[in-house]
Amino acid sequence: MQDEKIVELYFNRDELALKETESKYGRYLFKIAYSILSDISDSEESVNDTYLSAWNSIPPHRPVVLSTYLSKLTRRISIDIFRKRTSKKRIDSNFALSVSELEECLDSKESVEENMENKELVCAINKFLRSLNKEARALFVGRYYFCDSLKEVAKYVGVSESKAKTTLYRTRLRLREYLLKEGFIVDC
Amino acid sequence: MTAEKLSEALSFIDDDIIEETDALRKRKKNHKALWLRTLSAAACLCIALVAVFGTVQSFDLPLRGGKGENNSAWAGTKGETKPVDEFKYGGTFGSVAGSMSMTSSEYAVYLEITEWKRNCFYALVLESGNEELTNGMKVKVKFDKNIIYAQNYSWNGVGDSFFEQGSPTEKVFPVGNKLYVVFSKVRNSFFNSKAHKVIRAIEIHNIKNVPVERGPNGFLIATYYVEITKWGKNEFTGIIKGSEGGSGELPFDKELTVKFDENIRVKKQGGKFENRIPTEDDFPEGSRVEVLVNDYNAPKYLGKSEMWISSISDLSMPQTVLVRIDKWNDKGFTGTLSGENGQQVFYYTNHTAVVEFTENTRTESYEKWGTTTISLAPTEDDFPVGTMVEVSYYKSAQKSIDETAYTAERIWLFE
Repeated sequence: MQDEKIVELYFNRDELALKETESKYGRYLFKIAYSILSDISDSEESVNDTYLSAWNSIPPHRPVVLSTYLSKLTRRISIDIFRKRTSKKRIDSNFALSVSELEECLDSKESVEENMENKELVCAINKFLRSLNKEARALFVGRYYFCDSLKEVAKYVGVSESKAKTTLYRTRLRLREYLLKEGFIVDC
Repeated sequence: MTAEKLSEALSFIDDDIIEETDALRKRKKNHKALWLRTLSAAACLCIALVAVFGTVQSFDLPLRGGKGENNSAWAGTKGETKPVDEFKYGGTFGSVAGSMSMTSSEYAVYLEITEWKRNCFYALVLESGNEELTNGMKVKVKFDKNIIYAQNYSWNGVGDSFFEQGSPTEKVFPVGNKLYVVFSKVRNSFFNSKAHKVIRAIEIHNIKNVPVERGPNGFLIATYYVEITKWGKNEFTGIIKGSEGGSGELPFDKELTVKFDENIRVKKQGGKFENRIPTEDDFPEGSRVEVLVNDYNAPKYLGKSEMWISSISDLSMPQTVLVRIDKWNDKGFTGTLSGENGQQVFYYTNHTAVVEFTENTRTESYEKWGTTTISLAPTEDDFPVGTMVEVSYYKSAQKSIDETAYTAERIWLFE
């Protein structure tokens, strides 16, 4: 089924939308989730949450490219799961437990300033990625957005692994320099 | 700013940036499917031809069809190239060799336009990644409105930042322009097979005015980082410390002889290029130099092009550890291990990193792309106690259950 039709199903609140999404993008989303979580059941949970999130957000959203929209949702959800999982593991240490208890004293919601800063950071990253050449951009997005392995990224971009490694290294240095210049990080 | 925050921000980047990479991820599969479909169709056509003529000719099956008079089993025009599934070249995108590895049946060539015709142009081959196109050969480049081309240049001088779709015209690529052309097949000219070869372009990039990362004539170069061990007449022997571009697959730490002729250009650190033969006085034994090779097929031509001192002398990407410095001593410093390979890690117990320097241990700061300040023997003034640094190391040794020693190669500040 074409993406537009699937989106229409979401708009009509037809549960077939979820089935169609799963059959068309289930494996694609699972791979993204698994790249972040490295755990089958967590990844399945992430993908299921993605469907739920898509159901709740379409409408009002009308994604132009459904796969990209879903991949973003999966990525965010997977990172959340990853974070929860990591903090759970940390609780095994007394120190981490005390820190985790102290976290309760803090306001967990993002402040307006933080929210603004995050938006600016996203804008800056977009600008930075657009300044890269196609190869470097694809390597960076492949490795750090899709979390594909170095081998996979090198293969579909069409470069050797060593070249991919070097380009990524240089891109990271350039990003660091760029973030320094834009004031997102402070040089000591 | 934490790496986690940065990673999280990536979840919000623009859709078109994600789609661009996603298309590449899917493209590989599609091309394979296309290749299989084409092969099946060709096989069916062969069977049909045999059935119609009622004779079975004996076919030689060369690895690469084409040049022989009757040795091609590939269905199509006589002399047409059969796509080869695997090329042995590795290499980079934007390079002749690299594009060959992009998909199973794509090749690339460097050309100079000599004449324009309607919806095609003639050009001379400057460098080729396809065996049927040799340097100096005349080719006719055909294209349709579905191809993509780039007239402007991105930061590294290859025209791929601003792709446009459609048929380029003489206005876009005038006669004399040097181009990088990706194509899938080589055919003979229909009327006169010796007159010229014909290729159908998939992508065309402008490569004129290409700076730094390419040779003086604007073509692909491979870079080798070599530590000189011995000088001879018009040559030196060294150990490969890294490579980039070109075949890019020479093993590290292997011995290599670099030869050069009178066309070589020399640049010493901070100086300008000079057209002269380099000597031992320029680069004594033990120096690390950057050798640029004006060909994708590396070792055969190594040293025919240029050579200058590298600003980044080692690209072998060693392992790194993150260490928060606790105390300096006369051999280096000790600190708390805080991560590996650029990633901060939460360790349940404290692990001490004993970082020891050698006479070559250095620190680097990147001022802008391509400009690196290197200084030897970092001190506490560079990295005070409490600073988090990234340390790349030659070797490591676990001293006890909670202590590991690292012999440092480079140190730089970690944010």
